[in-house]
Amino acid sequence: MDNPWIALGAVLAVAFLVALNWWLGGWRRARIEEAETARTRYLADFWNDTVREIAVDRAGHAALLDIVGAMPAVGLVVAHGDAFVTRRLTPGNVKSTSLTDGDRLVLLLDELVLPRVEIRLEPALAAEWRRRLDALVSRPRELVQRV
Amino acid sequence: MDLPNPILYAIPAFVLLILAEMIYGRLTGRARFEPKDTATSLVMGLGSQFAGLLSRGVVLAIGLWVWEHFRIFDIGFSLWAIILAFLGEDLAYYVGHRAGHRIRWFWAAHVIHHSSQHYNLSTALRQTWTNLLALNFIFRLPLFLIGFHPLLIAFVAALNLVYQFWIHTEAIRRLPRWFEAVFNTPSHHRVHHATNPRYLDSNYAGTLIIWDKLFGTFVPEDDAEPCRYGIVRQLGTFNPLKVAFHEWFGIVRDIVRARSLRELFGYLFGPPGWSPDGSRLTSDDLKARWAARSEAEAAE
Repeated sequence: MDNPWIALGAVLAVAFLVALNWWLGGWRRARIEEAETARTRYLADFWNDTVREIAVDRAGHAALLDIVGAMPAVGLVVAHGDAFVTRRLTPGNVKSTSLTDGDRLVLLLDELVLPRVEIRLEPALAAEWRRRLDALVSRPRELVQRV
Repeated sequence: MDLPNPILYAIPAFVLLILAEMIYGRLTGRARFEPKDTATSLVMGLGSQFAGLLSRGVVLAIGLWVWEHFRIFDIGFSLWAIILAFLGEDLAYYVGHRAGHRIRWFWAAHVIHHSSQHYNLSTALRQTWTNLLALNFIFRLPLFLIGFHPLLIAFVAALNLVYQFWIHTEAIRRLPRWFEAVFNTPSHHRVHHATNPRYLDSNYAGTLIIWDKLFGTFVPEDDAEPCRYGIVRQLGTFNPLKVAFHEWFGIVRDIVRARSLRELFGYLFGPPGWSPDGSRLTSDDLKARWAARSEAEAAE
């Protein structure tokens, strides 16, 4: 790759292949059509969990799952490209939550590769899930900052 | 002795084969591509070649120094030397690759290759930018000590990487039994890229699958359990910088929080997923839980 022509050719080849992939199609953005989709996808990764309630984003981009257990936990399924990303959120994983326009729940997560998730729910449902998620906000760090 | 870099010669073939697999996948549904994922894989591949410009020079210099001062034999560049070098390098690849999955320090560099949820020829090119930082060349030092010339090792290592390109596909199901018995194949390597608990930490081979069979890490693909690709904690980003450095970032965050030397050592050199309080899961934990659950289900 120390030859600039080879480097240029490689860059053009990458651009060509990505453009071809767009043009050919055959893929579609992942979407959570119903609660069962979220449950199945979550349990594929966290097969030891038991899921209680599920709230699906109005646009089908994400879902929240109430996990049964001694420790508070919320499952998260997020559409990513044509696939899904799942998380089991426990105390310390959530940096903050906010609710805007009454129905848009925004989670800031304590990680580099999935830092922000936005979910639109019915206003009452959004407030209820925010309350559950607030129980997972990184308490140890808050305490340290206050000290 | 001037040996060519096989990777550079293979690039046109890589491009044509990805093109062919894309069209084949569109026509048959037997290969899955998603543009952002493809773009990330290819940009990671491009970046690794640029990163390699620096690392190859450094590794070659270290290799030459070891070879000149400490080599036991003078093996040369004969045909037999090339064959032996290939076998030795493939074994060193197996050892390094196994370490790349079992020791977080090395995993921080290798995780990039596993970070796609897709398994197609573009995934083969999703390579690390941080091989030099991870000091992955240490697994080849014994070869220089034995007496293989560093240029010869660089040549056969590149051949090994070129071999591994074509096995990143779902388009080929199984090859003749004799071939599957000796060589790494798409079927064996799908298992290696899978996150299903029963498939975790298996099939580390480069070219020859015999190493996995010898050292007890071979797991055959079971058609009843389709592979789910990626990593246990899938990435929610296509940003190449985050893909390249996320695990290093995680290591730094953890060691800053470490409360003892034991914790520091565990975060650096423990298995991926290690934590002092066991709040995260390693692949061994996942496999043990899966086995316990399977036993319980069988007993019911």
